[in-house]
Amino acid sequence: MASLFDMNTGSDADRCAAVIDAIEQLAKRAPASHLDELRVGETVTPHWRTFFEQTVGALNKGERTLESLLNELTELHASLVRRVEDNGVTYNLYSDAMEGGGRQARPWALDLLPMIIDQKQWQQIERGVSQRAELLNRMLADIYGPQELVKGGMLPTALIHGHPGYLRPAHGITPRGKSFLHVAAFDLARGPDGNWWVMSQRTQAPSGLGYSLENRMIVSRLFPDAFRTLKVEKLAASYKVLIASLVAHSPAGSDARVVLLTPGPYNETYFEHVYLARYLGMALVEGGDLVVRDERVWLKTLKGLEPVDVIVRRLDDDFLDPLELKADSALGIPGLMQAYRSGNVVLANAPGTGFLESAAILGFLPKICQALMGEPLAIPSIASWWCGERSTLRTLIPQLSDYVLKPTFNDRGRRFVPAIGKALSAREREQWTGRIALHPEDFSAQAFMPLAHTPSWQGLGATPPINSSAAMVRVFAVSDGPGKWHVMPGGLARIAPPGRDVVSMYRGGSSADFWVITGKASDDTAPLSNTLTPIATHRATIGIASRAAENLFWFGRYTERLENTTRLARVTLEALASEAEETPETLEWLHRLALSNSLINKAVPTPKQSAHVFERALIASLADSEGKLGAYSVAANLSSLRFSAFAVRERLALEQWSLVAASASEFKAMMGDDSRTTQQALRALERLSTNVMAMTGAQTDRMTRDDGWRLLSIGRHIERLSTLADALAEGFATGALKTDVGFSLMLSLFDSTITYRSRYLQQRDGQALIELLALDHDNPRSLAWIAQTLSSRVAKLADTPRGIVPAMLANFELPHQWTAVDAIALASNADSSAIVKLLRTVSRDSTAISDALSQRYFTHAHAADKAVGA
Amino acid sequence: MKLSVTHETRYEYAHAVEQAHHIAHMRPLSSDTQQLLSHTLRVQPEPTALTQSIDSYGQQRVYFELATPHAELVVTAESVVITHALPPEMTGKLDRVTVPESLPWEAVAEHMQYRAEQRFDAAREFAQASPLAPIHPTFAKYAAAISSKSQPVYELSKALCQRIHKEFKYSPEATDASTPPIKAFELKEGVCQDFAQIMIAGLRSLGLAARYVSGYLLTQPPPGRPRLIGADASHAWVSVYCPKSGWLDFDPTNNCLAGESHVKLAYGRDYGDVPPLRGVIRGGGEHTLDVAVTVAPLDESAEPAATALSSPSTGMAATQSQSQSQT
Repeated sequence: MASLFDMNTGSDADRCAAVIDAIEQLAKRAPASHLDELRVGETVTPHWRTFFEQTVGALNKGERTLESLLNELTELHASLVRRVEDNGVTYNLYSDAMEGGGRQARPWALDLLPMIIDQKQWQQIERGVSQRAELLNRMLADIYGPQELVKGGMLPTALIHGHPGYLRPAHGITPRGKSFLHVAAFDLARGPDGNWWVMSQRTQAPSGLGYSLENRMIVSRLFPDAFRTLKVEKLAASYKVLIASLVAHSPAGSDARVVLLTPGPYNETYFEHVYLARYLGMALVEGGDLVVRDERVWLKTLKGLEPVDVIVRRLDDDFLDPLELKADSALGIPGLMQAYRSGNVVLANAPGTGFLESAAILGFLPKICQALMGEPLAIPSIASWWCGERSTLRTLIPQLSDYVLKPTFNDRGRRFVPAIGKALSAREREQWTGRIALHPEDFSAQAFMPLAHTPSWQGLGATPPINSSAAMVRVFAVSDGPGKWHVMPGGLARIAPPGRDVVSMYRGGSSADFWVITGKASDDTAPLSNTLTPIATHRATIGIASRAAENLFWFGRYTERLENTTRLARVTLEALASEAEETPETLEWLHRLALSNSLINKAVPTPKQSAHVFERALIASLADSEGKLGAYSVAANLSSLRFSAFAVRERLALEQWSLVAASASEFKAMMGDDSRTTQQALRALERLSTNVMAMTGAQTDRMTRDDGWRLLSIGRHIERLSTLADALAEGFATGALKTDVGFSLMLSLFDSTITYRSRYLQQRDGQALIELLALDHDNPRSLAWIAQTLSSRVAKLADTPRGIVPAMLANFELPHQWTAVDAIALASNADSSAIVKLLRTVSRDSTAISDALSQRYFTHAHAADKAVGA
Repeated sequence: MKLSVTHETRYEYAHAVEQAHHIAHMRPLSSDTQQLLSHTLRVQPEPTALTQSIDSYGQQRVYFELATPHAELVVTAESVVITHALPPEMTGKLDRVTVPESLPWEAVAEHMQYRAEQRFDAAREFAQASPLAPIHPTFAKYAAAISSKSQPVYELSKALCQRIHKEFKYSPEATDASTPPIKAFELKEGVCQDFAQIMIAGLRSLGLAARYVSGYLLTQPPPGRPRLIGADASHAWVSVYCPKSGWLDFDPTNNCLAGESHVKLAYGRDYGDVPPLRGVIRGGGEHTLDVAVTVAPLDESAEPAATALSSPSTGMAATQSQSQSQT
């Protein structure tokens, strides 16, 4: 009997093949003269065939059609976007975006489809990149030593001694193992003939190792079957090689303490500094966290100075040391060059490699490779010429349209945006010719090569949904002991926007995961770990850096502030919407709290004047994440929390970080525009309260109790003490506490309604209130409990004996030291001015405590270094 | 001539400096035209670390740290050198000086250009632009205006040196150590450092090699001659290159060649490579800086020393100070 299913045509394999044929028909072809990575002639390449087979195979049997596949890809893409958002993967933009203290972080652009290359291609790349890394390292050893390459006429003086990237203070220094480079990156592209070419070299502080890993974590999980079946090479081993090599280069050996030096949160690739530091298990530091003493580098930690043996630096050469390099650098460490000179610190990479990044250098490499390595370059550079060589200039000028013009030097006055000759008008070519003639040495020329195109996902709305984009890959060589190199099998693929030929993340390009298929990769089918587990190949740990401590402190403060504003907004909206008759005193009290907690701006009418306008303004501000309405309410606190969580990311579990990010997106979605009804706003706040509870729970239950955690907790308690003391003070000051409504709202705000009812039944009793909210040592919302906890955490930080108020807090008003009799007497007084004054002092003192802690423990901007000279 | 040089630099800070890192280039050179007989460098208060090393031009550089709070820093270099006199036709104001023969400047500029497999010449480094002596059309125009076709490079340099001396006003208030030469050029004012860097920039902008010389000047005025400027601080001038003939030193501040009154400390591309003392401090607030340089002849027939600016250096030895002999 014929099964129903037989009515569908053909077998699974046939259906699959039909879908792939349809993809081949649908996906845009690479333009003429560009290689097409998707196809060989009219058919899909074997690895792309496998990729789609596996992806189609994952669909339900009855749904193996082109339409279903495209729908599936759409869903996977949505999931990818969510992952990028939730993981906070960003790429910062410089420029006016930062005005007003904000920061413009663009979500990381990542294509759904990976770029895939096979074994044959990879062998060429691996060999070429490994050889080139060694070649560049040998060139550095020569240039910072005998300079035979210049003496022998193989390199022009202008490209070395005339290049700002050649650092005179580094001359004569030989780092351990003669390893100048620890990581070198090469941008490679595939030409029409199928061969790979080096387009540029990155030697100072190459970016991309973090993004490569994050791309892999996201994309491999979207296509688990394809990833497994294709046996894609894994990346993790390469990072282990890097760490092992760094540690081996230090005299401290496996005890070496390694830090990652970042220029800070405004750097365009800050995300990956945080990400890499966490993954590689090293402290993330800024220049101000390090100090040179006795020609050694030290890290400022909560417990004092700790030695640093290895610095993985993402700070450019010029900024490393204001004493010997760029004098006005505020980011660097005075004396660092001397510490390096003395052999007391490994710098990865060594200072002074920047001249190798010049496009002009590429043209000299074939002969230098022959001279230094005794063999030809295994992978050629794109044909490049330096215009400072007269003979070059004469042939170049008449044929400008055949070349791409690039700056030789990277200093401000001499660099320019590369120009593609064939895209220039006749008049523009005239102008370039004039500029080149004036300073030929500032210009380099490269042949124009049509880049290979790889498939990219454009979305169902685009025609066609699968486009073809010009692509380059950044491949990393990692030092594997002196003279040996490990090439990471993978890296960062970058693709140009549709229809463009220039590949740049900065100019609107996208990235893609880069899959290398050698057929050798272990076929371990264990699912990928869901979290990024730091690799730990080195033992030495470092105390908590002052800066990390400060970030944790603010993470704590923003968490608490979010919790407080969320609760206050709920309590206020509920009160306004409730049946109970509001008293003028209560309305005045709620208005003051809304103002002091920045839920509204000053211009908003009081609820007495117009309850409706007040309510609408409060709701509008809730969703305003940038403070545009003059208030700094819930969504704005969520943004700050997210930013501070990002800064301490290396100490948070991924779930903890994701929770913050997801809560922000969810709140934004639920609040939508400012037309939300009170009910809708309350629902969003309620949901957020639950999320905040999960966040605080994770902080309490899932973090190690070290000084960093203590500072987080101190931050939370300072914020809580200040907010609640203020609320209570204003409750007395406005007379709200003398009303039934105000009394019960106060209990809600202190989250103490249930406790109160269980102890004191329903009556309104001023003495009971002060006992529970101010004096109780068991209620975690009472001022005494908060002050007690704060005090004991500070005492542990400063190693103060038990039971003693730490000296730092001695001059402040701390509620746990109040005697019940005095406090109750003050609160029962008909004239409330004394209790109001006392409570306001508590609130003000919390701010003073915050300042005192910051003075004592954190790195200070005002202690900036200053250059002097005579 | 045998000369003793005392170079004292004194910083006084409004508040204590918490930590400081400094580098000194204060040891006079030993070369064909100058012999160094002795040299000491004293730092007060006692540095927590002090190391000497050799810079990329083979000159001594001293690094020191102060990790303890200090409200005053005094660095004193004392040196004795023998300088060599120039032949009579090369001494005095440039108008009366006959410079040695040299190649046409166009040939020198051509020599500085790169051609594959060319023979090495270390001087090419000094034909390259540097931060404080850049290559710029304004300087090219200024220098080209006094040049003529096939003019020997030393003649061109002499004319440029004379022009700068004539057109620029010596004015210690107009500029500071970090003033870009283009700014000083617009002001037509400055000090020896500015004049030297403008002259270097002019020569480099024509494709020639010129370097910056940091040093001192003996200011004992010969009878009936005006007192030379530049004695109350470090001095600076210009060294110009011609293949085969070598380097010739021009002093645009004083309109002469550098001779036995000039003591050489260090060469560099510009001031930035070889400041006598540079540092980075944390804290300190406002500070005052006092530099006192005394250059005095030590001949048997010694007359009283020509003291440029009296300084309390004689009292220094008695105070608690550490002395590092570096000769």
